[in-house]
Amino acid sequence: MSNELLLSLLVIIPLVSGLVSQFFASKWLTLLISATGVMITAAFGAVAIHRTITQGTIFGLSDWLFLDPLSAFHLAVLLMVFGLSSLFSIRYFGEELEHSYLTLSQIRTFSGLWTPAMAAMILVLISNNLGIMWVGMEATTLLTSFLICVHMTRESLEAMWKYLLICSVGIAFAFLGTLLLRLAAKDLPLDPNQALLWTNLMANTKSLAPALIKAAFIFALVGYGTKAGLAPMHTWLPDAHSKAPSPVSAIFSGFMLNAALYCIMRFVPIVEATTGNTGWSLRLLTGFGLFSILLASTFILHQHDLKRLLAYCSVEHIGIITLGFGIGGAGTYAALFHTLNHSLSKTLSFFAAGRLGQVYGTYKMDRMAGSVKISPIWGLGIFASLLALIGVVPFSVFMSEFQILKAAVDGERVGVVILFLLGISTVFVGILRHALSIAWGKPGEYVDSASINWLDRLLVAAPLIVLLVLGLWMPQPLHSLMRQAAAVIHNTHDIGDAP
Amino acid sequence: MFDFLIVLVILINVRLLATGRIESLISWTAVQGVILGVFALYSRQAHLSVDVFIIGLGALLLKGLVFPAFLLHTTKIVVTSRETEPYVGPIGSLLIGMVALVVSLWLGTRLPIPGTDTSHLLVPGTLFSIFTGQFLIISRKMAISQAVGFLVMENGAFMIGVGTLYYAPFFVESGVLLDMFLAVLIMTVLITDMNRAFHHIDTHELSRLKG
Repeated sequence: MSNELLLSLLVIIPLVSGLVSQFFASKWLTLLISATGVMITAAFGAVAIHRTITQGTIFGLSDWLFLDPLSAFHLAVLLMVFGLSSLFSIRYFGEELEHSYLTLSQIRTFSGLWTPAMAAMILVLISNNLGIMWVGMEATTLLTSFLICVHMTRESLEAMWKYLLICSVGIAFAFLGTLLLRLAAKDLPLDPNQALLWTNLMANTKSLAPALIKAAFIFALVGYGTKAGLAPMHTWLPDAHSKAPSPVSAIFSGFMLNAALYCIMRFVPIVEATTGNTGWSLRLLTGFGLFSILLASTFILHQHDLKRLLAYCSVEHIGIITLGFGIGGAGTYAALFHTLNHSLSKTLSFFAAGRLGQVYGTYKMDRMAGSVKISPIWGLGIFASLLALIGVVPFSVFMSEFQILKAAVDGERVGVVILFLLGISTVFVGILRHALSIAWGKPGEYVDSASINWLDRLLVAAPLIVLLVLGLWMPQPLHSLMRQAAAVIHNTHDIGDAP
Repeated sequence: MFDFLIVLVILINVRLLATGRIESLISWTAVQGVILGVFALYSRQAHLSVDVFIIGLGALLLKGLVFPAFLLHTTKIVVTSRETEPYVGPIGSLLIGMVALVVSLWLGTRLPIPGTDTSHLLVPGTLFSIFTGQFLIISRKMAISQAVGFLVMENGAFMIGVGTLYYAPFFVESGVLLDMFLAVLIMTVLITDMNRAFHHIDTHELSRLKG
């Protein structure tokens, strides 16, 4: 199969499965078709990633599509998050179907938007054309907005409006950033059809206008940063994450935020190469990263709703990832590692929160006590995932946070180290006290035990095993892919002393 | 001619800042959309091919007719058609707008566009449009006014795009217009849903989710 066909199929298959799912009158079948579409896409995606690892960057459609190590790494994270979340959606919505809480129309809304949202996120990753990358990012906003409202309530409508408006405005800024980037390349002797290709811009950075490139980056950072949930543009995030059904919250936190951050990282090497590697863009990333960590940590201390707590935790972790990118050097590698770790642990935590929410009938943490007794599997899942998220040894989140800290120490960034430690310590305390009571507190009298099947066990065990293994041992292919991905951001072929 | 069209866009922005009626906001945005469609076709007349023409005409029809029609239709469905208590009144909005215009003109001198064939008003006009859109979103309470703000912002970005690039790939431009179309469609559907659920579209009252 040609690379062109392979890359095209990554977008076409999820689109088609979303469409096909609309033609069946069975709720279960509708749900299963959607999940099957994701799994088939994942299989083709794995082939594409393998080709990138073994053959280097692959291209298609006159170079408009490509998969380089940076996009391949993010694609791997996406496929993992969507694969797990699709299985979870069968369990989560299956529970509601058994109690007849969901109508066919609601299931169709979910299935009709779920896989196309996946297609839009994949389009963001495989677009070499930065204009198409923007189109894909805006499409994710539009396609996912109604996913928040699968259960139409006053709160979910409010969350959807805030999400739609704030992210659309943010993405409009990113559009201007993309235009300014194109303008900076206006005088280059390039075919207009090829001028917005990232690979072409990277090949001509010496001829780009630095002032316009800097302006483009500021607009892109604010625009895509809004979608990534960077503070202070994060205000839509706690509402949307907490009011969306849990499988949707999982892909929001587990990947959509990373997709937006990925867009910013496509701008960074262009800006740095154009401005003479002065670290100008990295300093901005460091500032936004630290501010996000600190702001999220203060809000985490005052949360009473489990899903809102997890949402603010996402702001914190996106801040940590951004900080890692901002520190640069070994920090870039660590930020990529943290991306994977956060996505897995946050996906699991939203799964557990969702199932426990169905059991308890609430997300209020003071009424979710003793979950290990009520549902040993999901109780353990929420406890372990919260421990992972606050960076407890031996989970891999600890390793990536440690690597980011080490990169900051090695770079003699004393202020950054102090603020980073302050932020993550606050989050540690803020989340741990809730984790202990949710897992081991005394359950209320009127809560029934939850039914458990093999899928529950798989959905808890799979991410936990990966998080534990990666905390103790790094597989060579993943290490190599992350090194190459970091090299793409650094615009080098190797990054020296990365761990 | 370029400068004249850009000045018209700027004047419409000023008019938008001064108005409180939602129908008036939508109507003036429609006029701005038509002007931008003309601007797109005029600025690229020397390089006019079939796809460039389709994009220009598509932008004119969407921004000048379709989007305003969606929004007017929604206004008729929902309860209110007037911003009774915006966070900032017309006089305050105008004064802030004047300051923003001066800042935009200054920034325009700081951000030169490559080449000598573009109007020096283009960057200030774009920045002022983006400010106007943002300000409408922040200072108005009605969801429809905020949707108009989003359109005005997008108009600003569109203006600098077509005003400086003689050609952008058809798939990129049509993708952008399609996204815009879907965004406005979804916003109007959502506003109707919100009106059904809350019996109002005052975003100031959307305060259940906090903290």
